[in-house]
Amino acid sequence: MLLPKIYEIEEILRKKNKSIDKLSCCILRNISVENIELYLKYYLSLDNKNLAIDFGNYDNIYQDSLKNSLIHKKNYDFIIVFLWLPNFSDILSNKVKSSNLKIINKEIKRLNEYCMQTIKNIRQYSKAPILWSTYDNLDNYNSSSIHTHNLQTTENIIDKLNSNLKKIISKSQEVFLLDLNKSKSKSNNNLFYDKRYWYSFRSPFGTEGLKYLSYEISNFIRAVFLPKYKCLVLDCDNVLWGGILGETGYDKINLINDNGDSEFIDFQKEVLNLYNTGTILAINSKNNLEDVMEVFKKNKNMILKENHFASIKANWNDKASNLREIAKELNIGLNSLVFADDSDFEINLIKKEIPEVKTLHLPIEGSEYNKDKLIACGYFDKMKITKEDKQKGKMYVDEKKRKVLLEKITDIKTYLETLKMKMNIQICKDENLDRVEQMIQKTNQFNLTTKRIKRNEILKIIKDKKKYFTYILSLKDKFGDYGTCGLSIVSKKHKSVYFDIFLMSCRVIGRGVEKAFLIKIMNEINAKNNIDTFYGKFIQTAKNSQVKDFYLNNGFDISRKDINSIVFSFSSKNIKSLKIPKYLK
Amino acid sequence: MNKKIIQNKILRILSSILKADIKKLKEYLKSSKNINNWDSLSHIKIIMAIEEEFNIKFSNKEISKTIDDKDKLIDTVFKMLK
Repeated sequence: MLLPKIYEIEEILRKKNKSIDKLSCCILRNISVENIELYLKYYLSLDNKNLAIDFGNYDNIYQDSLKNSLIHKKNYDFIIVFLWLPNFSDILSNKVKSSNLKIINKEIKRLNEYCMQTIKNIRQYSKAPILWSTYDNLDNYNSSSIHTHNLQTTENIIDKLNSNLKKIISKSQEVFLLDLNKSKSKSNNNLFYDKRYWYSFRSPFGTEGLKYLSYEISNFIRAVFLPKYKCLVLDCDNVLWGGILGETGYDKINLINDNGDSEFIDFQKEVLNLYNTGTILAINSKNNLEDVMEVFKKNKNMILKENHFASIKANWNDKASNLREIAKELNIGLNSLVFADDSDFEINLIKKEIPEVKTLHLPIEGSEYNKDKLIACGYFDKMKITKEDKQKGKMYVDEKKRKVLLEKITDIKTYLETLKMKMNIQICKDENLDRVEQMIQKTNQFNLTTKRIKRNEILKIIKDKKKYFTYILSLKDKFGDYGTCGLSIVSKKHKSVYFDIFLMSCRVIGRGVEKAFLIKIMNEINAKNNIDTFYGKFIQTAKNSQVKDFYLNNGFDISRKDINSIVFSFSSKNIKSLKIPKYLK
Repeated sequence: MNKKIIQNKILRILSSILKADIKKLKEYLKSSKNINNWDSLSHIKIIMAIEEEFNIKFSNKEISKTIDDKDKLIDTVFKMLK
């Protein structure tokens, strides 16, 4: 893995701006693993995150999960546990062959209980995601590759322990496995561990091991904490298929070889997997649009169809302009795009012209395949996949169909009527938590207060039904299902009601739904409680200027104005003056 | 590689990892004095960084020896590169 040298990283990190976004992590361990800090911090600094790491005491994993420990005192964003088997159990690591089964089983039981109890303890004080390392052994790769399942060997024991660990984790909330064995196989195997460091410093990992683990952990952190990349924008020639379409024609592009598959087919299958787990797809290619469409219509070997793409830009414009148009068309930020291309020139152009766009260089030469590069980049990794994610790729394609309809109908009111929208407003329940958390973390544009409250706080609010009303909105129309696309958290104090959070997914705004959502909530609360005044608040961010007048446009008056925020009020006496659009009733 | 270049490279590594001034490092190394921050955690980082820089691998013995005699570190690397 190509990284700057250790002393260079030290110098880079020292110069970095310490005021950038902070994340905190606690590492519980029974080994010395402090040097992972350097690489972890470096990887996260590439995403402009300043990571602060606390290490638990050496060989004190359980103790550090108890009351008054680090975990209890500090509110960490995530927790990593390195439970290194040789330091936990000599019998399970070094004496498997010479111990009797009874003793071995006793040790296994001791280990399982240790894990379960530790997780349980941590969960008393912290809801942060936990990354738990799997079991491995320094000697594993020296023994024979051929083994049988019934022999009493360290390998078999470790397999068993790891499958036990999976079971324990599947019963716990927000615990993820950090698979050392898999990470090892991706790195240069012989350099992943280093016995010299183990005997001298009680640190089993070699430089390669630390680099790979940091890389994987940083991808995990990105998937959980950073704004997600929403859309994969693909070049066509030598990315989706081999060869130059303009020279060969739709039937002669390189898609399928004598064996019935090819690297391009496999690449397309992986892209389809991304589509099915919530990634929007788009095309940005220097080709004639008719030629590209002809491939979709006539080449039967294509895995990806026209219907998978929310936007297709096949033209001779520069690719930076195309990307800007794609972002505008889909109503997402440029920093939500990943642009994949085989050409050095195009990649560098985008890096220079639109640095917010993440680039993925997929050169056709070389010994690595593009499918592997796409998986390894981790840009679209998700730790949770909500129902909305599964449909998202399709939602944006549905949106394209709506636009086609809108172009035919010039009168917006008729258009909205023909959509036959159906709103559904519900009180938020535990099962909606993943989606609600996702909306709170991700929504930028139609977000009145942009309060990024964390999961455990949301949970408290949902449960506190006396003080808070939490509403979620879902929407359907004749083209498809938008899923849960609006959220409002309202708090009540005496006869006043405050809209603490009011946000909508940007793909549904501009059709009166936001107005109807607001009014329906107000009517509902007003009917069941004795209310004098409703208060709405607008807190300005770099991205939400479009909602500045939202409350004003819905009959509220300005009651207080600060530099970055405005408070609006609405007297419940006037509630009958609020009218929901007819097509949304 | 001559000794001067090797020494300068090692000093740069030490100063960046130990967050210490190069001049002071030189004096300390000459007098075998204890250097602040140079504990076993820094030592493993220093060993990793030197191995990475010169593409060498210390033996088990050399690793433990250089923990005790830090002033021998530069000599050890020099001997390995000879």
